[in-house]
Amino acid sequence: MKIKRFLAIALCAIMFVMPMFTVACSGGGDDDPLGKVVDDLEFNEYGEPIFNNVKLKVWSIIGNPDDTYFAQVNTMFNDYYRSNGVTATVSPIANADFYTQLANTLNTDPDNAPDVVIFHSERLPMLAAADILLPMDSFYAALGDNNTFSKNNYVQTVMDECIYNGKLYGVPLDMHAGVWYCRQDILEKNGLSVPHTLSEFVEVNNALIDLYKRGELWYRGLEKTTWTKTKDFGADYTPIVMSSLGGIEIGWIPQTAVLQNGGKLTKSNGYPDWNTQGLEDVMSMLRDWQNGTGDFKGTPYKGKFVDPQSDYNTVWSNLASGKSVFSFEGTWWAESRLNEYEETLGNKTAGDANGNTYQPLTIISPSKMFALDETKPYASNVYGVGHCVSICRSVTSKTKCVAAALYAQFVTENSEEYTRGGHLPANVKVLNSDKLKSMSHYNRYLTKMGNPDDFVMLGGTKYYGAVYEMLKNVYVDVFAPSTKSVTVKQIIAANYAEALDMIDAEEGL
Amino acid sequence: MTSWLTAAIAIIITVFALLVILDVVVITLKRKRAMPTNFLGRYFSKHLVQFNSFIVLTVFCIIWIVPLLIGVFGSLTSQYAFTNHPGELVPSDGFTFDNFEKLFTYKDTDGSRLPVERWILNSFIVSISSTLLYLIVAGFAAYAFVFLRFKFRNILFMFLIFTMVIPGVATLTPQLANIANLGIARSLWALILPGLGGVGGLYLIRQFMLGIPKDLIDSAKMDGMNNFKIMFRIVLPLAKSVFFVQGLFCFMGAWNDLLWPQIILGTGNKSLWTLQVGIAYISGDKTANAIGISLAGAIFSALPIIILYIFTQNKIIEGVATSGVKG
Amino acid sequence: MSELTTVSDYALKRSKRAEFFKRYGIVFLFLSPYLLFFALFCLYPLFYGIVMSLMRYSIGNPAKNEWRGFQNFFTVLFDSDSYYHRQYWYAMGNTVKAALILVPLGIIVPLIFALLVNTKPKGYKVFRAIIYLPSIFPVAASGVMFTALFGANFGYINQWIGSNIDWLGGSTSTAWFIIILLCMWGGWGGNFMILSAGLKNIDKSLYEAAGVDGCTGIKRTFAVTLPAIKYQLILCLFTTIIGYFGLYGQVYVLTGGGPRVYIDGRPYQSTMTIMWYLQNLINGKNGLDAFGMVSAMGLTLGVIIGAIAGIQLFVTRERKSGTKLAKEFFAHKKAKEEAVNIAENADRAAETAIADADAIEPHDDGGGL
Repeated sequence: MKIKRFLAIALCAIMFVMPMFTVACSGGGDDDPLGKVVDDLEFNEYGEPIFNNVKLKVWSIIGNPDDTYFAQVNTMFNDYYRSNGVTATVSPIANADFYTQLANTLNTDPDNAPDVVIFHSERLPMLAAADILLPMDSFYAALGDNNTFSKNNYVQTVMDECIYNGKLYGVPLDMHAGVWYCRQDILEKNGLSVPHTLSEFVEVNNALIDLYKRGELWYRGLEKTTWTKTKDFGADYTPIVMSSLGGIEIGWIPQTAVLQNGGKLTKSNGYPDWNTQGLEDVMSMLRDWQNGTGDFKGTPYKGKFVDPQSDYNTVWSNLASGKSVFSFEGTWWAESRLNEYEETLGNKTAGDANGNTYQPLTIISPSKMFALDETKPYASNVYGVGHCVSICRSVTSKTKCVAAALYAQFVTENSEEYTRGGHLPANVKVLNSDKLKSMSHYNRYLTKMGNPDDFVMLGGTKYYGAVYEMLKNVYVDVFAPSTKSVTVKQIIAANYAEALDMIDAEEGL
Repeated sequence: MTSWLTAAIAIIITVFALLVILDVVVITLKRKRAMPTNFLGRYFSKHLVQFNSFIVLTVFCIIWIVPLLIGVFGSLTSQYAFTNHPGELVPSDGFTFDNFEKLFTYKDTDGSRLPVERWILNSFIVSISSTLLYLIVAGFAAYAFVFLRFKFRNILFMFLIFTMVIPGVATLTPQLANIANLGIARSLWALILPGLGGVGGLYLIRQFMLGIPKDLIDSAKMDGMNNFKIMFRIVLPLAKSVFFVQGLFCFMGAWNDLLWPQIILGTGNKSLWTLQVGIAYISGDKTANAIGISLAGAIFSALPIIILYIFTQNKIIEGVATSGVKG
Repeated sequence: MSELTTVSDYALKRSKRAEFFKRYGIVFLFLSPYLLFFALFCLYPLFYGIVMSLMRYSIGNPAKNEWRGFQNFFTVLFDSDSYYHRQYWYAMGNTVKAALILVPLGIIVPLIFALLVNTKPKGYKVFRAIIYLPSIFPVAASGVMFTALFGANFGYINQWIGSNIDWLGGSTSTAWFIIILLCMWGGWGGNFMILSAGLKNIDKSLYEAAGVDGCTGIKRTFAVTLPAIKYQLILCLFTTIIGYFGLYGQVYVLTGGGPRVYIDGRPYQSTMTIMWYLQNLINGKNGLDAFGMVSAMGLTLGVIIGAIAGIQLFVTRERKSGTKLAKEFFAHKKAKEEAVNIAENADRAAETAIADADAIEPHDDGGGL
């Protein structure tokens, strides 16, 4: 009886104390993650660090299709550094739960934690603030005279994104943006030219709809490569197709709209700053366009902004059939799509009276495409995101840290192959290298993504969720049928207030 | 509205209208004691309720399996037919196994084929071993709770029941840490072991054992049988059906689980994945984000369960239904 | 003398101890494997969760975790300015509303079909099998099928009836309608089975006696049949309520919480349920620090569910109410009590198992965390 009661009490006590013990122990009160890094670095007679079979585990968020290009860069690193005793293996983890999984693995299962992570740099401040990453300055400094790394070798805005509290937490690999994929052949055949500003864009769309309504729209598709005139696309013919609500456009269009009309996404303290008049104007304009009401600078809209019959199933299929002319998508598709279209349509003259061939597909940079006033200097801004290479807290050997830092430097400085995945290199040397400029994809689509100097990033905020995700909601709700009765101003104000509340709540924890 | 849908609705309405007329006629004739004495008359006077049930259930079951038909036919429809001729149950360009083929021939990023057969094997290993282990562990525990006497027996059991109301999400993070501390985070053990502490199945088995007469056990004890013998010679044969039912629930639960294997196995080691994780990976990929593939994945990953159900559905249902009469 | 006492004491103790071990050895042997796993995988995380709920718990860097006392609970329960409080109770409101619709439907419709099947029409085994069939599918799979059916542009339903309703994203009511449909389709097979089993085990003599008293048809259903399966009904009610408080998978696969609505100048996810909200908080998009808060929310939810379950058990405890006829047949019932009792036990157990299976199901939906 007594024994049992004792056992019961003891069991309960153990159950309660164990987690507390674990919680207390895991603390350790060591606030500086660098404090756990053991200085085991040794140098040879040339002052170079000695690596003894250092194996780097790399987690990369770069997923299909562009991860194959990064794999090539990784192979280059291994070929170059294997003799020096460093090898790296990349596991692509393209899941939405990358960050939770990273944090969980670091805390609960450090043996399986990665040494190096490649992820989206707009999340870097969040991870740096949580001490998931190690500041890298000291590792480069440890190389002494052999150090060739310099922050100035990288595009300024992208580099800024990788610096948190004045310390370098990652090396930027690339920058990229969503772009318009455009059926250039259809435009040219119909006597139109590729638009490069918002007003041209509206004009071209109006012209296409006009032609269509008169039954004079020339088109051809991947499966039917002859030019024909059509009136068969239904009453609601819309040249633009997007995976409405939930595609990639919600991550680029509202952000770019803020930047191209003189706004900023983030305040210097990391709070959102996107509740601008520019955003409201662009969103109101797009909503009017979608409703077919109002006009753009005096020209009434002839049709809708986005094909209401579109979803992720139709993004590419409508473009391929010639039913749509524009589609907003990620640049990582560029190579495969351009190949596909050029192989099928590139030299086809069928149905063209003059025997002309046309460039079937092209890419339009979002630069100036959401600017209400194209003459302003900020109108050419492009909202960009980038990938960066960082070192995880799980690394406790300075030798390994230095190896990882060298890895970060190497892959970013030799990222020419990787740029084929539709990413502009963040490294200035690569950007200006002859090797890159001589590569076939450089002029084919890389330069069309926008001027590297025009790229503007989120702005280094640790409140990524509140700042970025709530802005996405603004775009979704402007078009969502359930929020038709809410004005654009109210939508922006409500989401902005909610973002501030989220930050307050997070801070209050 | 498509013509066949209109026709179908018209048929349903007609059937119900006829049924109501029939009912009224039969009831009136019965009241007037003027029921014809031929075969139909005898049948309806005796089986009117059954006939009504039959018609209602037939119509209902046809509607009931529509989503399932969509799943099967949709998985056999090409992406082209989906976007260009939506709404066709039988696509105009014919059925195709492309979607299923794609599941099997899907190339991973490094160009290698994904180990689909390995996933199937893993799923079977996890489902079968967790089912068997749970039945053994919970079976003995249920026996102890029912036939062995010890202090705090009921309090302990109430406590077990009480823990069921705490939602799993509140304990997710600790569970992760726990699994990692035990050193089984990147192995199939992480999928097998945590389920063994489940309360639900224990509750089911215990409830059933409560229905076994105590006298039977007492007299067995008198005869000098020990508890192990009683467990295997008396209780197990009597409780066969509940073990069977619980076993099937366990198997289905383990087979269908997705979130936990996804979290715990991680994305790195693909040869450890279960079928559900793999199918979710393929059908969630950007390059294959199409409804046909998703449907094919859904059907394919549920196939073993469907087969199991087809072969055992009578046993499951009779097991639940007749369990009370036995013992 | 004293030595002698000690020796006899010792002997007594020894025999007691031997008896103790004899008696409890077998208990230990039978029970310990299960209790070990239970303690390791249920109890330990639960206590850890309680500890976490008292902290600011970040999975980013545990070194920065700190004790907050009951601050998390205070925020959830009382701090109406807080984002967490607002969203939590909005989600709770949604969940309760959904439960208010789903629970009656989830009992009455299966009951009707169980009654129909119980008349044993031709091929009733086939009907039974078909009605239960959707319940074996994981929510993820049935969700894909429903998306194919109700998709806005290429969904079969819209094509068939020639409309272009955005069922899942268009408005709150249609979105909830589809969620409820999926809950019904894939979710009430279990209740159907329990009630069928209950009906099957009703003693025929009850009906015969009712027939003698001129009680037939619908009257008999209410007077005899329903009181006879009272236990099954109560248990269905109990587990259905608990089940729908955990509503998550259906929302995740169909609407992802949307469409959004604006209330008092704030955006809300109109199909957000409480479980969806908790999962959403820890999916990494909203920082890595909210884990203690989520634990507190989860425990609060557990207490609420526990309270509802408790009230329910209290209200429905042995009450001999019912119609007169039911009382008349009480004697009959009592005679057959044991049979019914056994049936009840088995069915209660089966119900629990199904609830258990349901509890697993919500995890079957991919992505998430």
